[in-house]
Parts: sequence; structure tokens; C-alpha cells
Amino acid sequence: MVLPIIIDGILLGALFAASTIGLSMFYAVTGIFNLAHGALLILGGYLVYTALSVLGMPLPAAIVFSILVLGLGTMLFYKYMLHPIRTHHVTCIIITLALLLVLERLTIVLYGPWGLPFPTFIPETAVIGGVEVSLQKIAVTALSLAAIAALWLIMNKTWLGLAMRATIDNMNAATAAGINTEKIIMLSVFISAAITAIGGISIASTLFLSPILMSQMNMVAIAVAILAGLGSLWGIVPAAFILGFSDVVGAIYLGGWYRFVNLAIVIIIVLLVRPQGFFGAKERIA
Amino acid sequence: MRAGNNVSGLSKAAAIAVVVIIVVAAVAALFLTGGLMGGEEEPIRIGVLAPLTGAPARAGKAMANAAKMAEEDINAAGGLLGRKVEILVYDTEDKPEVGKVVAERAILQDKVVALAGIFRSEVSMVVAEVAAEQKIPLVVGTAQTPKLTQLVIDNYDKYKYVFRSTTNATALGNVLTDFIMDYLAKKYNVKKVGFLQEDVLWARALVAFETKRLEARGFEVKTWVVPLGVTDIPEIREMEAWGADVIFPVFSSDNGYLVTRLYVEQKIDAILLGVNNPIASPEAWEKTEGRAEYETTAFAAPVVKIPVTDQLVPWAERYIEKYGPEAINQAADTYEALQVIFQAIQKAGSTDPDKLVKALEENEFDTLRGKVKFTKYHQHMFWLGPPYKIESPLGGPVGQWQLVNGEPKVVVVWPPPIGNPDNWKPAPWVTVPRR
Repeated sequence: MVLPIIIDGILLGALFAASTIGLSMFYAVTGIFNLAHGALLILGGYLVYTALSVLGMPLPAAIVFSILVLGLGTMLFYKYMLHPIRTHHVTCIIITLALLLVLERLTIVLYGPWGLPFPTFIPETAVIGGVEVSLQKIAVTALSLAAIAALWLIMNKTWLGLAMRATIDNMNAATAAGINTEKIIMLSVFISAAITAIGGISIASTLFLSPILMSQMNMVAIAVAILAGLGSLWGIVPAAFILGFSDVVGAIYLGGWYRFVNLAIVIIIVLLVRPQGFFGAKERIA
Repeated sequence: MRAGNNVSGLSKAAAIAVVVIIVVAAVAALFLTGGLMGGEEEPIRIGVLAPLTGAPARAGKAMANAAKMAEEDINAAGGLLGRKVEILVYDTEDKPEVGKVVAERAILQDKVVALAGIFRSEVSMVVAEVAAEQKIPLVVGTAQTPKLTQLVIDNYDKYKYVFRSTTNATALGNVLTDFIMDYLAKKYNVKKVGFLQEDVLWARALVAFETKRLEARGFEVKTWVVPLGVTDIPEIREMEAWGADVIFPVFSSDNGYLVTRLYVEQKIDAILLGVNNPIASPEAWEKTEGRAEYETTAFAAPVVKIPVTDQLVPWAERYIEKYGPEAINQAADTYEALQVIFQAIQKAGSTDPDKLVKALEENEFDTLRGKVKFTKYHQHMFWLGPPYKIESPLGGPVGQWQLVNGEPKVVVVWPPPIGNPDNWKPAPWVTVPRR
């Protein structure tokens, strides 16, 4: 049973990572912890479903449609609801919580309370050491790691990333240095929402598409983001895999509700040793 | 004293006004209820209690639709005892205290001769009290608590008016475990059953009951509990490693899709058979991209249109055309409870409560999903098997998703004669017979 645990742990960790990248990115660029993240994530899947089944688009166009709609929607939401009050952190968090509830209810009203059909992009399986493994999950693993690497490169090795970081660190100084900070923030929010859409599409394609995933994946993403260190991209990798492994090990050796107790214990231990998470910076002051 | 006279003068005027209002209201009420009209014969009134508001309002709406349909159908067939039938629907709001109030209103004010319906067990318990006190027959169509029958067992004379025309909570998984014990065990040497259970109350109860039944017949049973809100179920591989011959999921949430997906993707060497609600939907094939193939579960006969009786499928089609497929199971429950009451009134030739109780006790009743027959404690004997009604809220006949001539289809395999077990197929990656 050791090999299946390792494989399941890696694949589940990758799925956890895929669900978290957008959340961490959003926090990094806006300083706001977005509790509606799980709903936005799965909405990415629902938008693909709408494009495929209602609008009759081909799959690649449906994915682009989902990214654009979610990106623009999140941008508008940020611009008109969060940006004007971005220094009031608690109010911002409450607004995102309200958005979570609204989106969850709206999805149930518009699409029904049950799951919907969603294509598995790579339905084939491979055999690794006698264990059947879904190629779809392997692809999601690769995609998550690639997305983290790409975002890290953009943030740290490009002029755009430099402008983003300057804006995050000190908006006034960035403006004085000639950066159009408004534009930079909007662009960053769009990128984080696009990443969220891609994560959601991957999850719907790997698990299933249902409104229950909105809260489920929200919890996962929040746990991973805290463990990673808020706003940290590379921190997601150890955090997601540690939680993925502890969930699989918990399921096999402890079972039942201990699966979650086990997750909580891991989070508590890590945060006791490193209160800011693996790669988290010290508390930001906006 | 003058001041006193003034007050009394005012009071007189007020008193006269009140008396006039009361008299006018009373006369109006008498006219409205037909009290002074006389002549024309009163319809036979039957009350249906349903949660039209509250969390299960979807089911309640369907129950009300069924009540309307039953009323139209019986009147189209000439009514009962030469009189028209009127079915009144009362909103229990899914609350016991409201259930009590509306049941009393139905009996005392609207003079119903019998009550039917009831979704929630807690509501059924208080309405049973009202029915017993007022001596009016009650046929519960949906609520599943075994405590309802316990009332009749403990105090027959008081509670003899209380009946249930559906299964009870002890039997939700019986048809499925019967298929394992009476067919799979013999043909494929199945000995080990692993329950994979979502951590919710009804699932716990089901697993506890079915574990007892399986162990009594010498099966080895083990249970894995999956909390709500997981995103992976590694337990499935663990069950395979344990040597489960049958993996018996008990899932009502959409995480049931995950069970199906992991079973197929990981080519788990065990038979997947159990209660998996998402897979029991008619769209399950499409929603799982065909991964539901070979999965075996209990299907609701009206939903997938299994002709368990001649009347079911035409009824289901008529119902769906009129009201849509939403909560059609609960609609059927209520329609059946009313069918039982109609036939009892015809057989008793009267609406006298005690004659009705006698007619209910002594007869069998033809309903949508099979015959209904009561034990001496007034529980329908679902365990008799077809042609008696076997369907529980989780489904009736056991079916398997198969490709038949290239078309996805639910093939009914159990119980005979509705289903033919020899049409059941193990998934190609499952080793049979079992070791």
C-alpha cells in the first residue's frame, strides 16, 4: 500500500495546489484574503459548461470564454467593491464572504443543485508500478507546477512583475516612479482570476462539476494558502503536498473524521513553528 | 353617576356593534360552508399534509401535485360511493407543531374523513397523535421512522388509525443486500462486503442494519466512513487491498461521482454495488461520461420508468408532462397513500373511521408501484417482494448501467420477476468468481 499512497498523495497535492494558486496571487497583488475564491474557482468550470452546452462553443473557445468572463468579472468586482475600501481589511473580507454565499446560491438557482456533465480532458490511465493512475491527474500536476513557475518568473524576472511588486510594496512610491498603479493592479487581478479559472476547469475535469465543490475547494485553498504563507507562490508546493499526503495517510490509517483532525494538526504544528507559513512574509501593513 | 351612564351608553353601542358583526360573520360562514344551503350532497374530503414551505418544499410541491392528480383521477372515474372527492392540501411547513395545528384544522373544521402524505418523521409522530385522538385514519406515504409502527404495537386500541403505505428506515438497503446474499454470493462466491459510507445519519443507520443482516448470513463486513467535503477517496484502494468482493457505497451527495470515477480510473478489483444517488439519476451516464457502466444501484421506478406495475409508467409520463420530473418519488408516495384510502372507502362502503380501519386491515391495495398490504401493526409489508411494493425513498428495483446495442440503459436485475439477475455483468476488470 506504500506506492498507491505516494501516488495518491502527489496527485491530490497537485489538485490542492491547482485550487490555491489564484487565491495566493490575489492576496499577493491586493492584500485582500478572498473568501469567495472557492466559488470563483468552480464558477470557472460552470462557465466552460455554459459555453459548451448553452452557447455551443468548441472546447478551446469555451476555456478562453471562461477565463475572460471570470477575469473581467473579478476585475469589475475588485474595482467597484473592494478597491475603494481596500485598507479596511475586515470589511473587504466580509464582502468576499458575501460574494461566496451569493455565488453559491446563484449557481444552485441557475444550474440546479446537482452535478453537471463535464468533459474529462484526458480520460486514459497509465500503470505505474502496478498502480492504475489517471493521466488527467498527472497533467494537472504538471500544469500546476508550470503555472507556479511561470507566475514566479513573471513576478520576479520581468518589468511587469517589477511594476507589480513595486505597486504592492508602496503604491505612492510606485506612482511617483511613473507606474500606472491602477492599471497594474487591475492587470494583476485579471491574471489571478485567469489562473483561478484554469484551476477550476482542471478540478471540474478531474473530479466533477457540482456546487458542493465551491465550499469544499474553498476550505482546501484556504488551508493550503495559510500553510504556504499568505501570498506566497512557491510556498504552495510544500503546503499542498504536505496536506495532500496527510489527507491520504489519514484516510488510510485513521479514517473517517480523523482525516480532517489530521489536517488540522498538521496546520497547527507548522504554524506553531512558522506562524507566517512556509514562505510567508511578516504581516503586511497596507 | 352621569359619567358612569356615559360610559355605559358607549359600551352598549359597542356591544351591539360586536353582536351584529358576530351574527353577520356567523351567517356568512354558514352560507359559505353550505350549512344553510342543504340539498346537494357533500363531497368526501381527504386531507394531504405536505411541507409546501421549508427545506423539503420541492418534495412538498410534488406531494401537492399528486394530491391534485389523484383528485382529478378519482372524480373522472365517478368519485367514491356516488359522491365527489375533494382533496385538501395543508402546509406543515416541515414543523411538527404546524403539522399538529393543520391536522386538527383538517379534521375539526374541514371534516376530512382521512389524512395522507407527511414527509418528515417528526411530523408523522405528532399527526399520529391527532389522528388517534380524533379517531380519523391516517395513511403515511413518505416518512420512514420505525417509531410510528411502535405506537401501534404499544397501544393498538389508541393508535389503530395509523397506517404506513411505504417502507420504513430499517429497510433502505434490503433489496441491494438481498441481491448480494441471494444471487452474487451463490454465483460469484462473494463473501466480503465493504461499506463506503458518507458520514450522514441515514447512511449510518442503513449500514448498521445491513451489517447485521449480512453478518447473520456469514458475510465478512467492514465499514469505511468518508466525511463530507473530501476531494479524494483513497479508502477505495484500501478496500481493494482488504479484499472486498463488493464495495457498497452509501452516498447521497455529489461526491458519489468521485466514487464512480475512482472505481473506473483505478480499475478496482471489486464489484461496485450500493446506494449512490447521483448514479441513480437518468442523466448519470451523460454526467459520468459513461463511467457509470457496470455500476449497480437501486433505482426509483418512476424516475427511470421501470414498469413494476402496468399503471406506473403511464402515470409517470402523465405526471412528468404536467408537473415535470422534480421529486416524482414523493409524488408517487402521496398518490399511493391516496389510492389506498380510495380503495378502502370503496371496500368499506362507508367513510366511517372504524369501518375504514377494518377495510385497511383486511384488504390488499393496488398502487402505482405494487400492492400494499398491512401487518397487524399497520406497516406495509415491503419485504414480501413483487408484486408487492418494495420501493423505498432510496429506490426500489436494483439496476445496472449497461450499453445495450450501443445505447446506455438501466438493466433491472433484481428482484425477480421485475428483474432478471442473469442479465447482471461484472465490470471486465473485476475477477470473477471471487477467491
